[in-house]
Amino acid sequence: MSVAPAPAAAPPAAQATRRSPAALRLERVSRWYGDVLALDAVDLAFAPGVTGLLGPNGAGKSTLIRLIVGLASPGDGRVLLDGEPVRNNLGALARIGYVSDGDGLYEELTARRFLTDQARLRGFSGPAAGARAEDCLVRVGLQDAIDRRTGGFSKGMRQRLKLAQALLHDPDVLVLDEPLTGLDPVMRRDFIRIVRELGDEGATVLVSSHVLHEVEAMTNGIVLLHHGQVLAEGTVPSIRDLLDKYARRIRVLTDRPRDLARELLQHDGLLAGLQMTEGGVILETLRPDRTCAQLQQLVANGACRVYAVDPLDEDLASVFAYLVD
Amino acid sequence: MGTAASRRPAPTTGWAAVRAADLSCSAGALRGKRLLGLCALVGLPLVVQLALLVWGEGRGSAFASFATRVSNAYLRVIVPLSLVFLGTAAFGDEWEGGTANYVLGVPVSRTLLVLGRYLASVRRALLLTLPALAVLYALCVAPHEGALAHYLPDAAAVLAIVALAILAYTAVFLFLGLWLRRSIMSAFIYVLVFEGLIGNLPSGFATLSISFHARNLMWRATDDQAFRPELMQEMGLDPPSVTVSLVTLAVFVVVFLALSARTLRRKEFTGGGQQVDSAPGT
Repeated sequence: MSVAPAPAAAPPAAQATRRSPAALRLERVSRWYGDVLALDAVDLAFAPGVTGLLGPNGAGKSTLIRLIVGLASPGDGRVLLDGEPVRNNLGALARIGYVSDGDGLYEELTARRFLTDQARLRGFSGPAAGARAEDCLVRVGLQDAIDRRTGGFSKGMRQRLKLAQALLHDPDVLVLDEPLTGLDPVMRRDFIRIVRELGDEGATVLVSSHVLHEVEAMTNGIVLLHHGQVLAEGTVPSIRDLLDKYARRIRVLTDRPRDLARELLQHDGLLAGLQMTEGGVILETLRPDRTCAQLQQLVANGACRVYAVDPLDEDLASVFAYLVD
Repeated sequence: MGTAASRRPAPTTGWAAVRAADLSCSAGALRGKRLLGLCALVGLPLVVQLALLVWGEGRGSAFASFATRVSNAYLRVIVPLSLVFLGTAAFGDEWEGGTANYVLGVPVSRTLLVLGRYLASVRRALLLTLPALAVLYALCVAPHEGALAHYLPDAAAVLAIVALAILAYTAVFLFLGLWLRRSIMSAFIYVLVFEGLIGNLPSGFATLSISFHARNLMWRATDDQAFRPELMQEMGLDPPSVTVSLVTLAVFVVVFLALSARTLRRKEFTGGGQQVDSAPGT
């Protein structure tokens, strides 16, 4: 399935100059691991703003991300940042920040030492490296753990430390692989806030997750991957609009669900199915607009009282379930 | 407020990059059980020599006993074995520990990264080995009146040549650590089979052995029989000159560092504990 790509949310004009707009593009990118095709001729373009990369485990998200950050080579095709290949390109690597999905850290080092080492490798000189490391640790809320060894860090602290490492050099492109895993609700909120801020600042932010509502909290722009292929890309509503061939579910809370169901079933082609629930009915319809109009008519005629009408398929979980099925 | 690009430093190059890579070499490489094991390995001849002194059997010779210990214990066994761990850990730990993305993701030339990690491993090996050799020299020579100062130039030459051997071994094992998944096993095979067996066969194979050239240099520098390349002489072959041995050790360093840089450029990180070489077209 292919859809017209929709750009991610544009950064606010007042802040758009803070970062160099980074055009990240994948051209017919494929990658095999032995006999397993992890990515199959993927064409994608990412604009500044936050884009969610969604897919079930094994969809190819992490492979795609490792190609984007230059940790692996595509078997076929090209990964380009502003027209230049990323892999082994120092100029491109200097603009990319990466939060891996792995837990690997230098367990013997303190958070300060780890980030200072990384800052030096990213071109900061001695004292500036230390100061930059401290700034980033404070930004992610690790100021109380600066001189603790990372081996004793909780999962949430490790995620924060990895984010601090990715922010050290003010990247134009930030790639986060399952960043919210293991975070408590407060950390999760902070993490989402930081990601949205970066998107607003004009960074090209790519966030992968298999937890759909997490991505929804960060962005409306998504790419859906499945079996190494791009299933769909664009905004959640634009993708939802593609699904007209599928019945949409509408939950109606009413005082007389059986009467309501009987009335609606008299209209040919209106309902594809229905399900009685406590205090209401779930309607499955290929014509949601006509169904809602009919509901209004029934209420106006006094056939029943309607307390609530909830579309059940507007969230990403439903979109994803439809596309994968 | 400046732009991100203006705040971002340019990719580090030259000595600054080498130094940054050196400092970033995992501090865990010389801690805990590994450090204890290496100290025990390097310190074993000292314990033996101390015991011989206590029992009165270590006073018979001065420099000769030192040279024998250096040749038979350190150059043939201890230096290569300790570098199996130090050299392969320069990069190998990154893949096993899942931290390779912090190495491959930085904007530093792969050659400079290799040089930095190489220097870190060499420094650790020198810090571990040279003090032990100095103590061994003192234990062997000090009981003989006036010998400590007399043999000092020879001892300095021995230490310098051990340092050369460390440079060569580190380059070899750093490469093995990058190239192979079972790098420690492969390095053991190199030390025990190649250096220990083939290197001691009465043939020209010996000239491909780092320890052979190190011992040859020591023989040339000190004229001590402990370092004499007997097998070659018995076969009627001339032992290599100082220049040939120095050049050979330098070739080991240059070739294996170049191979390491090439391997690192091709290296991929596909997740915790996994490593593959990139294979375009697959």
